[in-house]
Amino acid sequence: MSKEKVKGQGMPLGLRKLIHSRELVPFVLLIAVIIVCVSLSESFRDMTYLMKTLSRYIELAMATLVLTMIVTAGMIDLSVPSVMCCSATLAAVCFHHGVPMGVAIVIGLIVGMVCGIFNGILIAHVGLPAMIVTIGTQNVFRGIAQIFIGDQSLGKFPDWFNSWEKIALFRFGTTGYVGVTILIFVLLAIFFYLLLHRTSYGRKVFAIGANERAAIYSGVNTKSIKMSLFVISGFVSGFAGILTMSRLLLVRYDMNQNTEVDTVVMVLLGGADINGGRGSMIGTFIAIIMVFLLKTGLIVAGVTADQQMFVMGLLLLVSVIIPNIKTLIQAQKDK
Amino acid sequence: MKKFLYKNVKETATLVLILIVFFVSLAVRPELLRSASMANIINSILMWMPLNLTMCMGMMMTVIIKDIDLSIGAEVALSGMVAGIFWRDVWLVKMKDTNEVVIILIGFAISLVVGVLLGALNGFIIAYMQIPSIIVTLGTINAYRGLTYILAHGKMITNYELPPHLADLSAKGIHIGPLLVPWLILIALVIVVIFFFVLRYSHFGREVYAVGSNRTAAHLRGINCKKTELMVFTITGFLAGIVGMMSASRFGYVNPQQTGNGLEFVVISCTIIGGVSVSGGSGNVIGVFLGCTLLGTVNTMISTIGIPGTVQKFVYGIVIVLALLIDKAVTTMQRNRAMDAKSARKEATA
Repeated sequence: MSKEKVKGQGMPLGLRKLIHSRELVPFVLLIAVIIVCVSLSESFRDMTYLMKTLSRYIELAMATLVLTMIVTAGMIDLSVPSVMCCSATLAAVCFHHGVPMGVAIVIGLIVGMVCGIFNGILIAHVGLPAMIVTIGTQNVFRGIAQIFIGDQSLGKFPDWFNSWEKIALFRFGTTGYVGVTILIFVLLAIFFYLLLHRTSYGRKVFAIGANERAAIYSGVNTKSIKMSLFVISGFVSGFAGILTMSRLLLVRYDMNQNTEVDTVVMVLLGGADINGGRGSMIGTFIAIIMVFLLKTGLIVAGVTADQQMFVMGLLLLVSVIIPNIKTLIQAQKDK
Repeated sequence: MKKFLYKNVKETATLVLILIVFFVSLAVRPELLRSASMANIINSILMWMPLNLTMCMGMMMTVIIKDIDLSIGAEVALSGMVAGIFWRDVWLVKMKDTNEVVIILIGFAISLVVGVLLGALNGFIIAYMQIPSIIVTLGTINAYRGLTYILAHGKMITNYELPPHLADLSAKGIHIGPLLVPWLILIALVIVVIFFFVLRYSHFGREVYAVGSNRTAAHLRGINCKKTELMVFTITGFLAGIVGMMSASRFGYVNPQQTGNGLEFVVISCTIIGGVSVSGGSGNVIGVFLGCTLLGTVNTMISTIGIPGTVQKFVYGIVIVLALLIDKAVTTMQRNRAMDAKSARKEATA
C-alpha cells in the first residue's frame, strides 16, 4: 500500500482505492457470510464437506465468468442455463444413437457454440436488444432439449465419463479431495481475468460497455467483439453442461432450470454494472464463493431449494440497489 | 386500402397468420370441420385466452414504456395464494355461514390488493431507484415465487378449499348454439375494451406512449415519467391480481409451483407478435388482441392435430425470436421509406 497522501484527503491512496473498488461489497459480504455460517454450524469447519458441495455449483460458476464479460459489455445473456441443458441433452441423445461418447462430447461443445452464434447473430449483427432475445432463445434451447427427450431422462453413460468431479487432484485428511472440476474452474477464472483485465480485447469489451458509439468511432469492431463474447459464452456453457451431465450421471430437460437468476446475482454482486462499462473478474470470483457458501448455509439451516428462491431474489435486488444508491446520492449532491 | 394495409402491416400480418394456421390445420385434419368438434376447438381457444389476454394488457404497457415485467407469473401465484389462504384458513374455519358471493368478493379484493402492492414495489424500485426493469423483475420473480412457497408451506390450495361457485366463472357462460362462451373471456374482453379506450383517448394513455417514444422529450413536456412508470407497473400488478383469481377459477387449485409458471414467456410472445415494438412507444390493443388469438390458435391446433406437447416451449421461444426479427424488418422498412420520401421531396424542391 502506498504511503503518499492525496490533497484534502487524510487517507493513504491505496486505502482510498480499496474503499472505492468494486470488489469491496462482495468481499465484506463474503466475510459476513463466512462468520455467520461458521458460527452456526459444525459442518462449515469440515473442508471435505465444503469441497464436495462446491463441486455442485462449479459448473454454473464457469458460465458465470463469461457472463461477467457480457455484462461488462453492456449486454446480458439469460440463456446460459438453457444452453448448458441443450448441449448436454444433444450429446446424450447422440450417445444413445450409437455415437461414441468422445465424439458426443465434441458434438455437445459444438452445439453450445452454435447456440452462442445464434444469440450473437441476433444481438450483434441484427441489432436486437440482448435481454429480450435471450429470453426468447432461453425457451428455444430448452425447447429443443424437450423436443428430443420429452419428460424422460437419459443416462447409462460409459464409466470413464461418469463423475468427473470425483477425480481427485490431491487428497487431504482421511476422505477429503479437491476435484478436477475445481481446478478447471480456477484455471478458467485466471484465463478470463487475464483476458478481461490484461489484454486489448478486454479493454475493447470495457469500451463497448461504457459507450458503444464512442467505441465504434475509435475503431473497435463492436460487432465481432460482441459476437465473440456470445460464442465464448456458448462454448463455456456447453462445456459446463457436459460437466453437469457427468456429475448428475443423467440429463433431463429441466436441468439447471430457474438458475438464470443465480448467474446474474453472482455477476452483479461481484461489482459489475448492469448498464455496462464496469465489471471485475475478481469480484465475480468472490461473489461466486459467497453465493455458494450462502446457499450451502441455507441448506444446512433447513431452508428448502424452493424457499431459497426468495433469498436469491432479494439478494439480486440488494446487489443492484446498493451501488445505485451511491450514485443517486452523488447525483443529488451534484444538483 | 393500400395505405391502410401499409399503416397496419403488423396487424394484417397477424390476422393472415391466424387464418393460415386455422386452415392448414383443417387441411391436415378435415374431420375437424364437423360443428361439434369446431365448437370444441373454439371453446378451448377461448378457455386459453382470458388469462393471457388480461395479462397482455399490462405487459403491453410495460413494453410500450421500454420496460419489461418478468415477475407477472410470480405475482399471479402469490396473489392467488394469499386469497386461497384466506379461503382455507378464515372462511372454512370461522366464517362458514357467510354468503358465498361475499366470500368470493373478499377473496378478489385480497388478491387485487396483494397484486397492486407487488406491482407497486416493482414500479417503485424501477422508477425511483433507476434500475433496469429486467434486473428488478428477474429479482422479484424469484422473491415473489419464493414467498409463495414459504406461505404455502409445501401445500397447495385444493379444489375443496376454494368456494365451489368460483369455478362457475370458467365453467358457465353464454351459450351461442353449440358454443359456450365462458364468463372469464367476457371479463377479459371488458378489460381489453377499457384498455383500448384508456390508451387511445385518456390523458394517462397518451402519457404512456409519450414516455415510451422519447423519455427526455416527455420529461421536458412536463410529464412525470417516474410516476407514469410507477403507475404502469402498479396496473400490471392489479391485472396480475385479477389473473390470480381467474387461474384459481379456471384450474381449480392454487399451486405454488404450477400457478402462473411460464406465464411471462407466453405473454411476452403474445405482446411482441401483437406488434408492440421493443424499442418502445408503439403498439396497440387490437394488435395485441390478435397476437394473443394467434398464439391461442397455434397452441390449440398443436394439440389438436397431434403434435406432442413437448414442442410448446420451443414454439414460444421461436415465436419471440421471429416476432423480434419481423419487428426489426418492419421498422427498418418504414424508416427507409420515410427517408426515401424525404430525399424525394428535397430533390423536388431543388
